[in-house]
Amino acid sequence: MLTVILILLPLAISLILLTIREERVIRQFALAGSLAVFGVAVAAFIQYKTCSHCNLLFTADWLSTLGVSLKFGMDGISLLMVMLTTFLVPVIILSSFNHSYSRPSAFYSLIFLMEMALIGVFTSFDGLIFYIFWELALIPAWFICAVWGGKDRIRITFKFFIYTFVGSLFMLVALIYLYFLTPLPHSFDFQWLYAATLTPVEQTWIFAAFFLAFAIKIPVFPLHTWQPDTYTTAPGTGSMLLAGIMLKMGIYGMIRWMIPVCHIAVKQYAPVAIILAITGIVYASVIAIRQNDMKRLVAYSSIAHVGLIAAGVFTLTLHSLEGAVIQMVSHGINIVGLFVVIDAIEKRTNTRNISDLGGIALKAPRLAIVFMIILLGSIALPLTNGFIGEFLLLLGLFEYSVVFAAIAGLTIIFSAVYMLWMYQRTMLGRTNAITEQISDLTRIEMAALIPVVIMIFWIGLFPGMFLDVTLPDVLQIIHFTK
Amino acid sequence: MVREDFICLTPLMIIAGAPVLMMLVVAVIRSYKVIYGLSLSGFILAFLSIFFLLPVIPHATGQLFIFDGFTILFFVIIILACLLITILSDGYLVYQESEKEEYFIILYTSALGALVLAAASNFVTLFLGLEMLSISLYVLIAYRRSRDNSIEAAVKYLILASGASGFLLFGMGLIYVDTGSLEFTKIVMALQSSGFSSPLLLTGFSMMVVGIGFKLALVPFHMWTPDVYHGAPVPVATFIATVSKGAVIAVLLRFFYAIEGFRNHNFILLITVVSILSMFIGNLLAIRQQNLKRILAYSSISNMGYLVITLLIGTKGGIDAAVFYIASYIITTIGAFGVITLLSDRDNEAEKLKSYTGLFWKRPWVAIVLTLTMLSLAGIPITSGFLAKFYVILEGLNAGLLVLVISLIINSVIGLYYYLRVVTILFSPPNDVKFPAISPAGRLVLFIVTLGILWLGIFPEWFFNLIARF
Repeated sequence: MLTVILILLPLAISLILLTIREERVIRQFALAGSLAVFGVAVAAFIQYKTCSHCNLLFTADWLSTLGVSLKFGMDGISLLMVMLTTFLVPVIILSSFNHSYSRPSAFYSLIFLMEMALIGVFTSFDGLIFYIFWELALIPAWFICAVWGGKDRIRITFKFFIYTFVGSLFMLVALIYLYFLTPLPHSFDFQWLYAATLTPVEQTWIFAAFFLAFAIKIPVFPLHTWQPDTYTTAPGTGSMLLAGIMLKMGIYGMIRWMIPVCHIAVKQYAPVAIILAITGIVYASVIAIRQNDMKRLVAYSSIAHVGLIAAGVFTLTLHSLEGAVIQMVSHGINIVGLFVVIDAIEKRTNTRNISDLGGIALKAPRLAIVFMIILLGSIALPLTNGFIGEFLLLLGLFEYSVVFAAIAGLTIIFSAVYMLWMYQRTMLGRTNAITEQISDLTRIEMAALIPVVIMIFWIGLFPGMFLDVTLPDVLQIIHFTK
Repeated sequence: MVREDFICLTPLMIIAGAPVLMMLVVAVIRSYKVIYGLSLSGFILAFLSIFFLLPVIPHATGQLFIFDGFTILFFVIIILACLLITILSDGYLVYQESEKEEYFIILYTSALGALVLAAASNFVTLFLGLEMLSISLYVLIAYRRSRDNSIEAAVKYLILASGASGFLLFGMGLIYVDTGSLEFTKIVMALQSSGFSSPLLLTGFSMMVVGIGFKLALVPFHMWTPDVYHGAPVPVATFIATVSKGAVIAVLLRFFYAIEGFRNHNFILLITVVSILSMFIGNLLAIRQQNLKRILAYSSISNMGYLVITLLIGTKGGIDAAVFYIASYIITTIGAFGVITLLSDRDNEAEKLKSYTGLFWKRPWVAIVLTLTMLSLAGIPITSGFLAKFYVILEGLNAGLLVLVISLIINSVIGLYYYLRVVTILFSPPNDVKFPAISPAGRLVLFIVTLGILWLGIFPEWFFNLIARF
């Protein structure tokens, strides 16, 4: 039941928001609503823990003649993703208070619509319902970017929409094809999809279609071209939603059903996929070093980081998959933190160009400290969240192939290079005309960033509780591939 | 005639009787309000009378009509669509100075043609229905004759449609020569014994394809569509796009499935080619259009291309998919045209894409409705358009129509391109174009359409079951 509430509550909030006119009330209501959703997620977490993996299932008929049912539930992986989503939305909403958006009711309403779709993706246990929520998440994301975005937003978001839509359609066809291979009477239920019998050729095709859909969303090199432009032009809120949560849908989809359904093809083509992912890591890192726009730099760093996750997923080792799940959470938290900080700087200086900034630490020590912590998490320093995930991922890659691990390991070195260099040029040194008058973080911004900082250390210091939640389910996934 | 015959013919008789009554009323007193009220109540009455048919179906009246679940479904779709179009026409006719009353009379005769088509089980009724529909449409298209393109569009339609009717009639004649009957069931029997081998028969069927293809605006018989949509009054364009095409699809499905055309390799080849061409040409030509009516015209060409895929599926599932698709397409198209109608004023029809720039900031709700229809046409989930496409893809793959399904997928992407273009224009920074206020009745139509699109998209089960039962 909690699962359904988790989906319906954001929808209800989204509809109520449309009826409010006053901006102040809208904001307060949005914040309260997002916290309430987080509360429900925590309750679900507690229930999941106490009833020992009961999956919180909910089933209702939808298109029973075609074997589609509204089946929602949560295993450890879903639960962690839902926690991530519901945790980040309040942070994102808090950070949006820095700006005044025209038509705020529509803006905040779309955020909640997106939250609903994301939770739907992470909790559906039915292939078609998964697909519907997957596509649905795209619509509010696209509107947020296309309506409230920056320069050249129409062209850029157009590309973004078409790109992801193409991938999704391939997934839909593969899904329907798979449906006809399930035991009679056909069904889209995950359990049935897992039970489908596929010839190696069919596996290859279905794998190709799924990989395309998920790789575009993640994005994996060379399908990443929509991403830097979109992140840069989107409003801060949009970038956070996209980078923090939405791209996790792709990795989640890979783990949830690409691996179980076509494991032979996954094993067969894993080297190709890993090489693509690793190429992306090096490629994006090198580009990130040369970026002057901070948001763009973070966008490229994101390609590198998720490239590592994707590479790890394909090794199919326990360490890597565990690392992938925990790193999805960590990456979401870190990148949202980075975007919040960048947004705060941009709000004060009207620029995101590294070359225009400098010496901010002198004027805004709190901002500098928070920035440093998030940055360290992002470059995977031990005791921070990034370390846990990336270490496990590299460990898994190492078990798979030493060469791959060595090249993928560059991501940590590279990210230290571009992140710390960015920090040096923006925060340290002398102030200039632009940063002279910069003020420190406001209370609202602190309220958004402190939870992020807490989570960075929490996951970094006590990863066990997060890893334990997902362990049985990751083992289950690995069991499918045997 | 037996009692069942009367019951079954009630909806047709109501629709046929109403214009007679209206003409009498016009002769006595020329009151627009009375005529409008009459036409509304006529459609409502006809709709209600359908419920009396339910216990007696399936039932064939003589050799001309067949009333089964399929007929009923299309009756419901057509009459509801006509009702919505009537309400839309009211808002539009406000700007017409004189002779508004006859509009509804002609709307009724064309609706009658559509209903006859949906129930036709004989070439005679097929042709009668089609002609009743077409001839009424010639007049309706030119109804606002002072407008620039009206006469041009009507003449274009008149000439081409008469040509197509000629083909159709000749084709029927040839089939009659070969099989000795005009009745669908007898033709089927004759075909079962002789097969499709005779050249006379093949020529006949090919000629019928021309006639039907013209009505559905399938490539290569699509040339008239953009010009007629552009020139016709918006509610009439809505009627052509929805009711007229829906009725022709109904009779086509019935005939094609009866003769089991999906088993004949000539037909398979023909329909595959026509379908693929319609999808691609319709979508590709839509991309560069600057006029919303023309975009919808090209979009209708490609949609008919998707729809004829269902002809080749050859199972009950194929018919169900077709009915779901046409229902979804009709409600969505009425929504899109409805917005154009309601935003049109005396001098200008709101058809230029440019004038919609930034509509969201001025008229958020109207913009949302138009967005929803565009997303539904593009096939984005939780709209009816998604499930319609999904159903066609599902049944298509089941029947092994891989080429057609892949071509549908590719075209969904091309389609998305221009639907999305419309949406981005709605959300761009606003311009200074002023649109008239929307009447309560107009709002009601938009509300019903929105509800329909979302209802079919989110809670499709009842409708699936309904279709499956009939």
